[in-house]
Formats: sequence, structure tokens, C-alpha cells
Amino acid sequence: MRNARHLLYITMFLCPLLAAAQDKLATRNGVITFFSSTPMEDITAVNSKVASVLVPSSGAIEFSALVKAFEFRKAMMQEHFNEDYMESDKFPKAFFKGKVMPPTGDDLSRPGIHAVSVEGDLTMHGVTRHLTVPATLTTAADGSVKAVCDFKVKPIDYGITVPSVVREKIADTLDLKVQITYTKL
Amino acid sequence: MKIRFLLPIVLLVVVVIGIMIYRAAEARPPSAAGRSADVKVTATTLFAEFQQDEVNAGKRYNDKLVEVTGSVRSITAGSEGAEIILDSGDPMGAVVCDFNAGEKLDLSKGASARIQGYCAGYNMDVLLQRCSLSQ
Repeated sequence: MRNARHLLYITMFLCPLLAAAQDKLATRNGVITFFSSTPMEDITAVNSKVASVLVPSSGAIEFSALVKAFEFRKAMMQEHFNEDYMESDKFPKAFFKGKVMPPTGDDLSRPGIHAVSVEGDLTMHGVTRHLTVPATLTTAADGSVKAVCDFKVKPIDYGITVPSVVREKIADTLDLKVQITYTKL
Repeated sequence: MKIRFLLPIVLLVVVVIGIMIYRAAEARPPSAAGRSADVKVTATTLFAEFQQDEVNAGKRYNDKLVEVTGSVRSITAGSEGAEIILDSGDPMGAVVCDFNAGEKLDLSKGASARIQGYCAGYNMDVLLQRCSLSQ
């Protein structure tokens, strides 16, 4: 009888946790690309080691990216990006925590393409800003989800100042592309 | 007479300096190949240090050329490059070693590997970039 009661308690405690874990989708290989385009120079950097978690049932979404994991074509660009602009020793990661908001009645776990908006807080260079951006989520039959999102950020909004010497080479607004494929944990 | 003699030398110096500046500006981020490591550590120790104290481990390893030894958990290769994941002793994390495209990776799952790469920090895994296999 005592064992049966213990079993009941354990089941009551574990069931919600197991249900939440089953619902969670994650990746450690998300890709964020940024572009800066000016008449003087085009700059591209890619980070393909972004960690992210998505819970389709609640829409909760989080990601974190190592700033030093952005790779540039030129060593000097990478050095300036880390040392002069992003100060990656002081602020090693960028974070996003927010919520995916599908149109009313749309279920993200249903296979198909979902046009959504993503709302949340983006933190980089020690500054947090609230964002709302459009995104497309494609849910496959096996439950995996591909997320694609294009948006723009202004470095100045995150306290990132560009020295006047190189101002003509770096755009005031950067284009960011997020491409993440989530699979079940 | 003196100016006529000096002018070609000055021009030559200017051109050489110009080429050096151009080459430095255009240089790609360095690969770990052919360089000697700043620090040598096992994959389990490297991961444990970051997990226990990310800030201090970052100070010790970030941007350094780290030689890491460990057991290969998985290998993934594609046109963009390859990735070897070394066992950390913790199923929730690993040491991820990123290789540029074209690197020859003659290793299999479970093999012991010695890899060196530039440490970028810890984000669930410890990341080493622009890696090469050590001899």
C-alpha cells in the first residue's frame, strides 16, 4: 500500500516533466548570419553554433550565441568585431528570450508552414532591447521545425559605437538572418 | 643627383609597405595547422573547467590555441567543413571541434584523437574553431 502511494506520487510528479521534455525541440547548430553593406565594403559573418530551444505548445523560444563564434572572411574584421565593437571578452554571449506568436487558431505542432511573429528580448553587448519580428516556421511530419527569420538591428541601439575612421565601411543598420532546425530532445 | 638616387628607393619602400598592409588586411583567420599549442588539456578537463567556472575558464582558454585529447563521439563532414565532437564525460555537453573544408579527418567514432583549435568559449559545449589534427 505504501509502495503504491509512493508510485502514485512519483507518477504525479514526473508526468508533467516528461510531457514538457517531450514537447521541447532544440538545436546546437543554429545559424545566424549578419550582413553589412556599404559602397566601400560588404561584410558577412556566420555563426553556425547557435544553441536554441523551442516549445511549440507554448511558443516559448530561447537562443544563445557565442560572439567569438562569428566567423569572418578576413582575420582583421574578426579581430575588430570582437575587440572594438562587440567587446566579446566582456560580453561573450548574445541571448534572445521570447515567444513565437502564430495567428489565432494556428497550431505550431501541425505539419505545414506557419507565418508567425516572434516577440522578445534580445541582449547583446550588455544591452537588452525588446523586438517583434516576422518569421516562418515549417513543421515537418516527424515534428522537427525549421525556423527562418530576417530582421535588422542598429549597432548604436546596443551601445556599439563605430570609430569615425571605419564608419564608411560599416552600415548603420545590419541585416541578420536566423536559420534554425529544431529536433526533438 | 641625390634625389634621383633616393627616389626609386623611397618608391620601393612605399610599395613594399603598401603590399604588407594589403596582405595583413586581406589575411584569413589563421588555421591551427602547423602551429604549436598555447595549452594542452584533455576534453573532460576542458569541459569540466568551463562548466564549473565559465568566466575563469574563458580567461584561461578563449582565443588561445588549445590542444585537446579525447574520445571521438561523432564526426560530421560537409561541403562547408567538418565537425568532430569529443566526449566530455557528460552526456549533456561535449568539446566541439570545427574544421575548415578540405581537412582530412582519418578518424572513426570511439577513436582517441588529439586536436588543436582556437577556443571560442562555452555555449552548452566548448567550441574550438579552425582546428587541425595533431600528429
